[in-house]
This record gives sequence, structure tokens and C-alpha cells, in this order.
Amino acid sequence: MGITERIRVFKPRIGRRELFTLFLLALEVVVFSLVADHFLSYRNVLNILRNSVDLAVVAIGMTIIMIICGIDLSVGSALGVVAILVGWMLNAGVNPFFIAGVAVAAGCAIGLVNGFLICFLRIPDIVATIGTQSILRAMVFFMLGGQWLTGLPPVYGFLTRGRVWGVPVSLLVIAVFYAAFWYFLTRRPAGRRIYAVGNGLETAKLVGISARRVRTLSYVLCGGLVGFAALLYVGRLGSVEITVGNDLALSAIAATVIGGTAVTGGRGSVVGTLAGVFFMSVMKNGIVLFGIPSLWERAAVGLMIVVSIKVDLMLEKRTLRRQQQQLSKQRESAWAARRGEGAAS
Amino acid sequence: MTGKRASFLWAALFALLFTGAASAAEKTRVAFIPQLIGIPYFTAMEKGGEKAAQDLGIEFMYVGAPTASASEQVRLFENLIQQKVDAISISVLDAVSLNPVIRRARAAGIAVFTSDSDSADSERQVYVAQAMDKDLGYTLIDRLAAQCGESGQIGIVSGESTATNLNAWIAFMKERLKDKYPKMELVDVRFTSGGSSEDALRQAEELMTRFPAIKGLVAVASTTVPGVVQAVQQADMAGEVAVIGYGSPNTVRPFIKSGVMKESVLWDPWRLGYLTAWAGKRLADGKSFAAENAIPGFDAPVKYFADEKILLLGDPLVIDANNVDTFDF
Repeated sequence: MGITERIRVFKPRIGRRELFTLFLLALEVVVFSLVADHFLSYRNVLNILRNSVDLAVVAIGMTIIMIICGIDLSVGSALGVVAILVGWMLNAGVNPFFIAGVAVAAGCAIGLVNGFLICFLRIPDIVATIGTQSILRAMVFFMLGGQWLTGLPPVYGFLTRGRVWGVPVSLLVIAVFYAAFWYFLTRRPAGRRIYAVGNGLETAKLVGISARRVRTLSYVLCGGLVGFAALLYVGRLGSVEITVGNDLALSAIAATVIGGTAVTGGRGSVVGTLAGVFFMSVMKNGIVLFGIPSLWERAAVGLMIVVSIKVDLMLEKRTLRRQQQQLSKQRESAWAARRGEGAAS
Repeated sequence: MTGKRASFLWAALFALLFTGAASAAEKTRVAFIPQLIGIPYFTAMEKGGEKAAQDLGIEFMYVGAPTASASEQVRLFENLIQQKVDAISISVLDAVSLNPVIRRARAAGIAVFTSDSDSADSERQVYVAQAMDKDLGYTLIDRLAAQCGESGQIGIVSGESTATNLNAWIAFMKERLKDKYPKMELVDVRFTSGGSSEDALRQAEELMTRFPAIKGLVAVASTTVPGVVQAVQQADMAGEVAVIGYGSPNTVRPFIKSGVMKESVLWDPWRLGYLTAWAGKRLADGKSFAAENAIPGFDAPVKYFADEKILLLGDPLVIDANNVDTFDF
């Protein structure tokens, strides 16, 4: 118990890094609203929200995975497989709540496979998830068999299009998920253990955390989120075709990195990730509203990833330098004290 | 005794090998490389090709990659050259990267032709065209013009910006708009990454936001059709914004039934696959084409244009509520 208490002592706060992304997002919004007429219209804002909702949920999972210094490239194909399962069940008229349960369970199962490969068979994260990515993509082809699911019953349309007391449900979904995971990652011992493992496997082991368990559970958690995102995808698109989730892994990683999660693990927050998600969605939206050729979208996202990582490295260097300065100061004073003792004797 | 039995076995084995080799040599092997596998469109071509193979007594090889990638097509093409098949047909994704491989295959004595998507400046022997690009572009705009009363803004959502066939159709759409429908204005042409439906949904929504008075949306790549339809449906603009595209009957059936989409323009890929296999056999046998060719099972003779070396499947097919149930692809 003492250990969890001590871990809880580190008071997490929204650091400068998240503020940087929020600032970028604000800047982007201001510039776009000045240049494009329809950018701030109610309908457009609603569109941006709705079109980010599944990415936003997956990005939470990716943030957790990247905090434990892992990476999950299989999220897109995993979402595809679950979306097809959901489509099949919708066509068969299965109870929507049951379908939702199956979707999350299927996502968790895929996450468990990833976790098993990585933590028990000790295959590096990137290699293992490239493998499952390929296998799941093949499953998407096999399951669809060259025929797409179109015109699915709009059972989950409510999750992305509906409104409760005038508030769009897509906004509520994002708010609920991000509030819950912000609380989990910053205030719960289990959440803090994720950071502990990401900061140093060996150190975490020394204080009695089972790194293997934390990492496996992180992948399961990420899988479950992907499973839920599949419901949102089906609700939003109303169809599942062969390209489902093709760019999802890269978008989620980009949002996470732009949001300030360190590629070296141990640092990051869902607040930053949410800012990253919206930064990307707004960018994509603006590019069409301005009538800029579609190709620039990828270039812009790529540029942002590089800039974000560079900012990360600079911040990290500065903290390291400060720590070293503090250390050397302490050492100097210790030596001075010892010298003083020597002189006295 | 044992010696006798052994020699008998050897003889049997030899005979087996020999007949095996002989039957493989007898059957003409015609390969087709689609842009990607796993979509209803190319699956229908595969089935048509297989039917033709049965009828003509040849082997139809359908080899493709799960993603639309030009480098994958080059790799598969080189594999087929090494296997020394008799004819290779391909739906070209990127002419620049394929032209050299096509030249190499011709040098190796393999018949090479394009089907579904062309590279006109390559050394291909014939292009099996589903319909003239011109007819497809023109028909689509004509149908759309009829739906929006020959005036108003329209937008286009396409697939990858490098897909030769999609770009050719868009060029003819523009031409038709300019020549015949001066009151219709094409506001923008958007490209989607990998032709993803999700991307198409988003960009179609954004086009409707940017141009609130837009009257028609064209989904050029078949994978973008569900996304564009969903965008119009979600915005409650069904009936006000007409959606048209090159979507297969199975894909557009629910949309035509619900009324968001009135028509879809395409051709029968099953028959295109059949014609591809037929043309492959013809080329492998060293025969040329007549100006009009009777194909077993086809109602109208297939035209051959010697100048451009094009074998034409026929007029575009307009899919609507009346005939959508008669197709399965």
C-alpha cells in the first residue's frame, strides 16, 4: 500500500506541452475563421465534432499505449473487423446493447492477443502489431468477400448524430470518454502505474509493479476502446467497405504525438491528445473549405508530427539540463560541506 | 521382381509427369492484374473471366494486391513474366511505373494488353475498354444534368489523384459541362486517400458547407459512393442534392431504394472480365481482331477500333430503380 501511496504523491498537472498544442489549435481556429466564411457555422462545427468522434476514442487508447512506450499499428484493421461484426449483427436484427457488448469484447480480445504477443512472447510492439495489422486486414477482406455492407440500419446513428437537451451526442461521447480517462490516468493508482511503467520498466518492477500485467491490460484497454469506436464508425458511415480504418492508426498516432505524448514513453495526457485530434480534424476540414488540393492535407499532418516531436525533444533536453544543474549544485554543496569538515579536523 | 516393380513405378511416374506437363502446356494461361482485390467490381470481373476460361478451355489467373498500389502491380507483373504465362492483362494504376515492365514482357514474347484502365503510350497490344471514357463522362453528366434541371453548382469527390481512369472520366465530365451545360458550374474536385469512404463522407460534407447551394455531387471512385450518400443523408439534403456516381448495383441498391440516389452509371464488369479473357486467348493465339467481333453470350457484337487499338465492351449502363435488382456485382 505504501508504494501506491508514494506513486500518488506525484501530482500530475497539465504541463506546458499540452498548452503548446492547445495554443496551436486556438491559432488554427482563429486563422481559419478569419479566412473561411463557413468555418464557424453551427453545421460545420457539428460536422467536425461528428467526424472526429471515433478517432478521438481510438486516440485515448493510442495515448495509453504510447505512455507505456508501446505502439499499436493494428487499431485500423481491428476497427474494420469489429465494424463488420457489428454490421452483420445489425443486419440480423440483434439487440443493439448486446451488439455493443460484443463489439467491446471483440476489441478487448484483439487487444489481449496483442498484449500476449508483446508481453509474453516478447515480440517488440511495433513488429507484433504490424503482424496483427496484416492478419486483421486480411480478415477484413475475407469477411467482406468482395461485397460491402451498405445501407445498414441506422441504430447507432444516435451516437454521432443525435442530440440530448440540444447538446450533440458526439460532443457528449467525447466529453464522457475524455473525462473518465483523464480521471483514470491522473487520479487512479492503476492509471499512475501506466506512467510508472512507461517511465522505466526496471524501476517500476523495483517498486513492485508487474510491468507485464500493466502492459497487457493497456493493450486490452486500447482494444476495448477500438471496439467501441467501431460502433461509432458504423453509426457515422452507415456502411462498411474495404478501406475501413485504413488511415486510422496513423491518424491516432499523429494526434497523440501532436498532443504531446512522448514517443519515448512515460509522458503524455488525454487533454493534449484531444487537442491533437481536433487540431487534425480542423486542419482536414479547413483544407477542403479553402479549396486547397487534397494532397496538402497529408503534408500538413506530416509537418506537424515532425514539429511536435522536435518541440518534445527540446523540452526534454531542457528539463534534463535543469535536473543536472540541480544535481551538480547539490554535489557542490556536499563537497563544500565535506571540505569544511576536512579543514576542521 | 523388385527391379521390375521399380521400373514400372518409374514409368508410371514419368507418364504422370509427362501428361501433367503436357496438359499445362496445352492450356493457354491468361493473367489479369486488377487495381486491387476484395472489391465487388473486380470480383465480378474475376468471375466473368473464369466463365470465359471454362467456355474457351483456357486458364484465367486473377492476381492482385489487397491495396491499390502501383509498386505492387509492378511486382506482380514481374512475377507473371517469370512464370512465362501466355498473356498478361492489367488495369493500370500508374502508367509511368508500368510502361517499362510492359516493354520487358513484350520482349519476352508475352502478349500484353490493358483492361479496365489504360496506358495509351505503352506497348500494350490492345485496350479492352469497359466503355469509352468519353461516353462514361458524358453519360454521367447528362444524367446528373437531367436530375438538377441543367443548372446549379456541382462538386466531384474522386479516389486517389493518380488513378488514370478516374482522371480521364473527370476530364470528360468537365468537357461535357463546358460544351453543353453552361449553367452548371463545377466548383471543386476533391481526392480521397485510398478512395476511402470515410474521407469521402467528410469531404462531401465540407463541400456542402462551403457551397450551401450545391445541387449535385459526383462520387467517381466506387468506394467513395457510400460516403457521399451518407453525407447527403446526414445533412437531410436527400432530394435537394443529387448524388450520382460509378457505383455497382450491390453497393447502390439500398441508396436507390431509399431514394437518395436515383441513378448510377457503370458497365457490367462480369462481361468485361469475360471479354478480357477472350481477348487474351485471341492475342495468345496470335490472331488479330475484326472490326466487329461476335462474342458467345453477348447480345451485340464487340467493336474494335484499329487506330487506337481499343476493344469496346459497349455503351455505359445506367442503373436505376427498375433494373438494379437484375444485377449481382
